[in-house]
Amino acid sequence: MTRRTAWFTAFVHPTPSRLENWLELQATRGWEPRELDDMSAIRMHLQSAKPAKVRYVVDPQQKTDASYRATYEDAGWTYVGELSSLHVWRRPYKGTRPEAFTDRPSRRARDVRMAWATGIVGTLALLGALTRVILGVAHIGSSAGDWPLEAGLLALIGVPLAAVTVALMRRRPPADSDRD
Amino acid sequence: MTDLKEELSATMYCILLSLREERHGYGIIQHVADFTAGYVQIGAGTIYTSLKKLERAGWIDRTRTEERRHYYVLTERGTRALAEQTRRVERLYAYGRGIA
Repeated sequence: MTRRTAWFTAFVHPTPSRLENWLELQATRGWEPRELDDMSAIRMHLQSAKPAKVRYVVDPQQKTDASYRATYEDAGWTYVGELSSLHVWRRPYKGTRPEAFTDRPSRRARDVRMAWATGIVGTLALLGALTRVILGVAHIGSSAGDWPLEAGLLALIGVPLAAVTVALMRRRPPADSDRD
Repeated sequence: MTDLKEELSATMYCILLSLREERHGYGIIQHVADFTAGYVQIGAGTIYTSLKKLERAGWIDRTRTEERRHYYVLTERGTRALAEQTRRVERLYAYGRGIA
């Protein structure tokens, strides 16, 4: 088998550090994503590769300029791709696991950027669920009978994302090696 | 222009020190590792977001862009902030001298 698909990865591992850990685990097992796009949050294709110690970094950035990629590349990182505004970088290593976010304020800022993304999607899903319940109860629309299933699915997406948003906003990132 | 209200981290302070001369992101990473003998290591994600923050605060200015790299230098406002922070560090050092 040279290729496999992982489903709903970004939802199962909804914080940057959890997604990084999962990608790194796949690398040690000999699997890596070659390219990413918006659909990769739902369906991520992994290619067979030589098992390796690889550091992955997930960087939520809505807008970047040309210097963004240059800065990472100069520092030895390789761009994997972007899935729904999450930029993914990789870097094989030996010894100490390399870091792209080396101080507490920048790690905190990354969590806040991520919380915005999960917060917006989660709120839209919950609003969608609520709207579907209201329309269903009021018997508005042609498929009024389907509302419990549709509202349930939207809530299934919205509730975990809302929970992740709250957790990210309340989290104090670990100090690790920073001396701030 | 947004002001930086929080106390400067060691990383931010070193970035400001480094930008007394014009440098780009990775140039700052290397320069800081050099003059702190590796004590302060700055990652690519940290330098990118820190430079954006300092630029928004008006503490640094973008001088030019070459081969996708933005070059920055301290502004007058940034120079004043650096001097103020240095005085603060000196005072703390004076209080702590003799303990370590």
